[in-house]
Amino acid sequence: MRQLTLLLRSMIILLALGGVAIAEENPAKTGGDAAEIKRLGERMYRDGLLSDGTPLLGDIKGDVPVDSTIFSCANCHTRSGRGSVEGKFASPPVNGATLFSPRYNVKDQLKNAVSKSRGVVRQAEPLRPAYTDETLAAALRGGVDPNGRELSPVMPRYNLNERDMQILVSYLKNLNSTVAPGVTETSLKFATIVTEDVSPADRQAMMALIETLVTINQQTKTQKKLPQFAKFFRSLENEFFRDISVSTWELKGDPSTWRAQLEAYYQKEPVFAFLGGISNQSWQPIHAFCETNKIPCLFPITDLPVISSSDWYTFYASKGYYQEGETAARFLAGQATPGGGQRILQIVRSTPQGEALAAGFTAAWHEGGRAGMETVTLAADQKLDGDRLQELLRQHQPTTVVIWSGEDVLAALTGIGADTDLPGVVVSSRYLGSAVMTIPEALRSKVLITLPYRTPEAEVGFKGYADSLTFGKLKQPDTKRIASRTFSMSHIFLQGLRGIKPDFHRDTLLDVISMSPDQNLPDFERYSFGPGQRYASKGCYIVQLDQGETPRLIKKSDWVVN
Amino acid sequence: VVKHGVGCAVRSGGPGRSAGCRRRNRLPALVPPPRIHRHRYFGVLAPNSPLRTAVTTLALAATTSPPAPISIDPENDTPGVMKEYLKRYRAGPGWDFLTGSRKDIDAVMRAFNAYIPNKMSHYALTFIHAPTDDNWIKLLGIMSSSEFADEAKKAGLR
Repeated sequence: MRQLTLLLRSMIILLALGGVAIAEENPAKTGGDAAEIKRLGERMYRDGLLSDGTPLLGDIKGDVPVDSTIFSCANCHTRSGRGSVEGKFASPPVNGATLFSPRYNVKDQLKNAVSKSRGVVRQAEPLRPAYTDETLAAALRGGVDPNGRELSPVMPRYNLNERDMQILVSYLKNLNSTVAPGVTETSLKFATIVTEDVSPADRQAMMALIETLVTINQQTKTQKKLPQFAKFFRSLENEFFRDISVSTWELKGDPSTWRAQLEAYYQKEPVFAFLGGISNQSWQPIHAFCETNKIPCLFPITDLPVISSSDWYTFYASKGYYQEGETAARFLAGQATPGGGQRILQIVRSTPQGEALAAGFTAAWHEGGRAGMETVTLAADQKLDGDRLQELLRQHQPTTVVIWSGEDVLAALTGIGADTDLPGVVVSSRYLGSAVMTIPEALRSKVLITLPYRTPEAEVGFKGYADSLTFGKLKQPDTKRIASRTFSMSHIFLQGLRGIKPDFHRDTLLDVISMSPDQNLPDFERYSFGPGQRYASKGCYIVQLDQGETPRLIKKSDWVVN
Repeated sequence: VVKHGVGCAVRSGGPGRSAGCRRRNRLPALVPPPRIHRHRYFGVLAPNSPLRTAVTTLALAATTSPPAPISIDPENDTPGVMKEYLKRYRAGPGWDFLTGSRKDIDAVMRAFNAYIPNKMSHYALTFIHAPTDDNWIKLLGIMSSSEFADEAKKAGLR
């Protein structure tokens, strides 16, 4: 019974998003070309700026002035017009399909959906008739819908002149009105991206889960044919079900050629979104391609993502190496003694990993105008040894030395002269790999380690998660956390997909995922979301090894260090 | 506007009766100076919340003291991000946007009986307290400036 209630409830939510294509607005009416009208409308909706560049003004409850550059339409109704529910306030959908078609009560909506799937047109009395340009203008200005009902007092009443009103109405009318690429009445096309440098075993670890997603999607179809599956729900399913397909786009050669390869794939087969993806190299070319073509890319497996606070289309599980560097800097800054006087020496191997760690560290260290940091760069093939390290320490006299390099760090630390007083040391466990566990006991109290995952003890509780999708298909143990990270991607993707049905638009998918509550998933602590947040897990532990032959990792910090 | 008297004295018969109550009484100390105002204002609102502006605007209209919003999304709201908010919300001198560890922020929310496990389902709350009174008054929902002024008057602030 409980399940049934839940099912019904989710259907009600699904049905709140009826889909009807709306014709393009006639640009002549608003006096300007269509692209310009769209640009102005988008700016008004997202940034709260009128066509003349001044802020869109309004008021809440009669006497609270609202400046839309502080909070715009998109703040509540979201970028896709999908609407949101926040606390006790629901901001309804405002995309063209919803506004310009009648709104029915839930019972009628369910029946309408079923009737439509049977090819019957059912006439029900709507709660609200479809908006027209005039009634929508009246609602935006005066807060009254076509039935004369007052809108929520939280919805600002806007002060818009005739031309700006036409621009905004035209924008809303065309919001999500065209069918998104990769979507048909019966199917949804996705792709995943694999670069040539990924080993066959790693590739298989990711693909095993993605193949399972497709299998489950097809199994659902078979289950629908079972007589136990109620007729009523079956009809609804016909409305919402899509056959999912995921193709693999393999990128070969130098990263500078990836863009052209992606364009060629996309030309041949437009997809709705990218599910996961895997590369050992920087994700930058793929990220840029997704931004240009506005294609969502969900949680690719990469430790070298693009760091941006404004890019929209790629979701990452974390900031990768950059995040380790960032956390290390915040942790050290928090350790500062009242007298100050911290001197940090950062030694960076110029590999993509070292540079990402250093970029995160440097940016976070300089937050709030901190000084006292010097950086020494080593060539990519230049190993750090004891003598070189000793020389650098003598030269710079740091209180802490941060070394972003691979296994050679250990040799350098052990090879350092016994007469050198070793300052605090910070290293990255991801960069060092398993060698991190072999740090000699004498050094352990001096060495702080960045750990981008949960501690092994805490991870035990998440061990079986990925198995629910791998079905024993993995050819080797998942030591690189590829299957488990793909599991997290699948989980969030499925939640998002359930949330958007049947409004299959890219921005809607991104908006729905952005509104997810916090998630506890394998590998990273607390995936959290919010409008525009694109790095779900936002921290990293600072740990130390304890004494003994099989040392444990002892946490020295919280997951997130502010 | 629903109004609840949730001050310690009202609820438990006197300050210091329960751990929660003691914690609530210590709360003003959590807020850094300058904090000697006629009353304090807390906006415990999520980033990008449309309601945040509405409430902070109210606070500015009703008081000369700056508001001290506390982030409920500390994972995201690093000092750098908070600075962006200050700019976006046209913060005047003396505004402090506060963030901290998840544990501390949960403690503040719990102390105000305003704990929300899922930040996406937070709602608007305003707390006011008169200089002569130890009780906090919790106001639910979004108010107009005049409604807020009425409440402030009833609480003995004006």
